[in-house]
Amino acid sequence: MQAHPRPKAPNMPASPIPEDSASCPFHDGRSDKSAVIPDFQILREHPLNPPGQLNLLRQGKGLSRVRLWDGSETWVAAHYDDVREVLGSPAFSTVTKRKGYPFVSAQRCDVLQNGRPNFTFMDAPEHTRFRRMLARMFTVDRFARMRPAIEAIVEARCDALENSPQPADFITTFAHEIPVRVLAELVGVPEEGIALFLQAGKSRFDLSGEAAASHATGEVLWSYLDRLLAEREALPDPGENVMGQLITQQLRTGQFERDELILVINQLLVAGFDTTAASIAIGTLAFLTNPDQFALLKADTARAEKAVHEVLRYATVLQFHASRAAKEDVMIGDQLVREGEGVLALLLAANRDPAVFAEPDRFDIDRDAAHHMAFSFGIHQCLGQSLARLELQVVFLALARRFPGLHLGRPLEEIDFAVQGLAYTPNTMPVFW
Amino acid sequence: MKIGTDVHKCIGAGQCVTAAPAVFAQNEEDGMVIVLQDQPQADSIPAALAAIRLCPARAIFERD
Repeated sequence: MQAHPRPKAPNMPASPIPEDSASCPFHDGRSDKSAVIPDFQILREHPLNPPGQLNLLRQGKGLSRVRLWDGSETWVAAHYDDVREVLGSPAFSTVTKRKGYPFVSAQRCDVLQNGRPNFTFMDAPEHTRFRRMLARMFTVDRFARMRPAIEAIVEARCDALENSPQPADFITTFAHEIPVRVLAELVGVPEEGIALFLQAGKSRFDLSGEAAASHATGEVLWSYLDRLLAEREALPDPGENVMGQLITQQLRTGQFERDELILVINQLLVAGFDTTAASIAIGTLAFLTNPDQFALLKADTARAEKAVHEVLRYATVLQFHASRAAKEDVMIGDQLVREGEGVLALLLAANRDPAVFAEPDRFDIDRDAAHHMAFSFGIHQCLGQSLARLELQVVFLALARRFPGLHLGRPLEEIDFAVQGLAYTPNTMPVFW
Repeated sequence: MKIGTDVHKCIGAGQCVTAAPAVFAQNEEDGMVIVLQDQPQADSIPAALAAIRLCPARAIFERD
């Protein structure tokens, strides 16, 4: 197979990938800890649209090259078809120690290389063992049965918002509170544990922050879950929630080690929290800045299912995902990706590809967006997607019903966003109703 | 149209059940795909094709 010459994205250096690009160079003097992908213009010209740079990357055919924060280079997939191809291919690995794995920041590199690797960062068959064990607890039917519990949580948060002085901060009063309570109910973590995993998510998701903060809160969460698991293990019937089922079906039968299960629970909490909170926040912003679309949802609640697909496509909060390393030489479109080279398959770029979604920057709840990439693709596609979709449907239906006059307390342009967050979200969002 | 599955590839993402609930279900025991209609009725074919496209693990497909 032969590599075809590729059009370069603007201002991209033409040098080959350095041999040592798989090492974690966070002690490297050249590293700029504050920069996420220096070749990327991550500044968004419009807060709800991707950086214009992503559209430039898509002007060329196939993959592009970019330089990362540590000086190493990686391939970038910005076309929908290429992103789908990379993420669906068994030729690519998510194991972060593999040569070429592209880290999007120094913090991310340190967190992933020096933390405990959960099954997101395993390939088959190791990954399959975890995923299959969890699948029975994450079915569409199981979540559908949770709907009344989710509705009760959302109603209670609507009450809390309604009783707050105006303007209220939508993030702390509403967007954060819902996934935390839903996860607590699902997994079986009591209220006292909620603050711990709120904090864990915050430090892990700040790509420009200090990895030490993430490691420290991670350890606190680990000790807490370790203690909690021990308490539940001592019960004759540890319950029907995820923790209870893990104890009876996996731990007591010897299928999984204790530490493996703590890691699983830890991951469910951290992965399920920020992404959902950010999607609630960005989705609400999408409705408030497109009042015609909010009116459509208010007029016909049967639109909720399609509307949530569109919210997920439009928001794509995991703005720097997803990193992969090639385990073997593989063709992506016309481009040869060699073993040991990295690819950043950008979900955000795929979801705004005009070849797949007409007028991609338009928020249109009647479009068919079910094939969006916000949950990624391939064997690592979001385990909790059925729950996330359900949660978002309940949230937007409740907002439409209970807060038909909801509006922003300051112009969109003046809202502060986590521009270097693993999950893109407003940091604060004042609202009136 | 006939539906084929490769249950070894299935990861239980549930996309097929959401897209085509008349054609696919998840096994309560392990969350893996079950085919309810291996020759979908005409009015289920568009949804079945959508489900095939949505499956992240390529565990369901159209067969001859």
